Amino acid sequence: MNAAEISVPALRRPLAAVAAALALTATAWAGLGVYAPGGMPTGHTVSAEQLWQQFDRTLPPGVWVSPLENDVYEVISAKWMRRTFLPALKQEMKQLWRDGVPEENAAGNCNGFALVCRLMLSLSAMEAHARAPAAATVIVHQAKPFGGLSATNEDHCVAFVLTDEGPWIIEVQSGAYIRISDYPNLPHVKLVSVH
Amino acid sequence: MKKKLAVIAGLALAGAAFAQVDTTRPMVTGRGNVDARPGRVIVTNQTAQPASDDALKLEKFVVTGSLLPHKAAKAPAKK
Repeated sequence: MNAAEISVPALRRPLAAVAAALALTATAWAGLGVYAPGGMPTGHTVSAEQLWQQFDRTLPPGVWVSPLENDVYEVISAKWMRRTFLPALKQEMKQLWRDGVPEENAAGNCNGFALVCRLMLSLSAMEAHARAPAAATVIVHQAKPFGGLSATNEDHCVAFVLTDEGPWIIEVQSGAYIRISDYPNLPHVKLVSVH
Repeated sequence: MKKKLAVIAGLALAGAAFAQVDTTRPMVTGRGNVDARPGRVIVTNQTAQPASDDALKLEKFVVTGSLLPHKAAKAPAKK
């Protein structure tokens, strides 16, 4: 028996132990993670009344708006949205696609993705010690195509974000955004949920 | 002049409407608070139920929140 033959089993044991430990760690961390970008600019805020006025002014009549539980909300920097947040959102969505998350009538549907977008925005705001973001989940009848999604003629969920350039609608699954006044499905908005 | 007055009055009314909104309660665009309009009801129970044209009869104890479905029977006389 030469030296090499002796050393191989001796090496295998620690390697196997390391592999087992890594496998255990991977199992323990098999959940989904969300990355929220930092550096959110702060200081531009609106009162609850002003946020309601935005909804009342920009949405068609008859849209149900949830109660606004905070007194003040953070207006989000449009520049930061374009340069930092939306690229991070797109990465997050790509990862969820790679993980096989999208599914009809399941947690991984349009409503779930809109909530992920708002969670990311909330985490960014927390990191910046900002006010609650002036953002909402919007239920809309997808009568016209927008943001990569065709006219499905079904109820769909998108995100509303009040930026310093005005209110935006974001198709969270593609990261596409548009000023609410130009949103093709604006007449078909049904419900806005801020909390 | 009349147009200007109408615009000013409209803006004042809109301002008053905004001021009246309680943002801690549900709202409907163009109308304000939902519960400021007691005639309008939001249906939350979506359970399918057979259609019925019969008017719902509410018993006194149901309305008052009592757990008793009917009036309590008289207690038996003491022997």
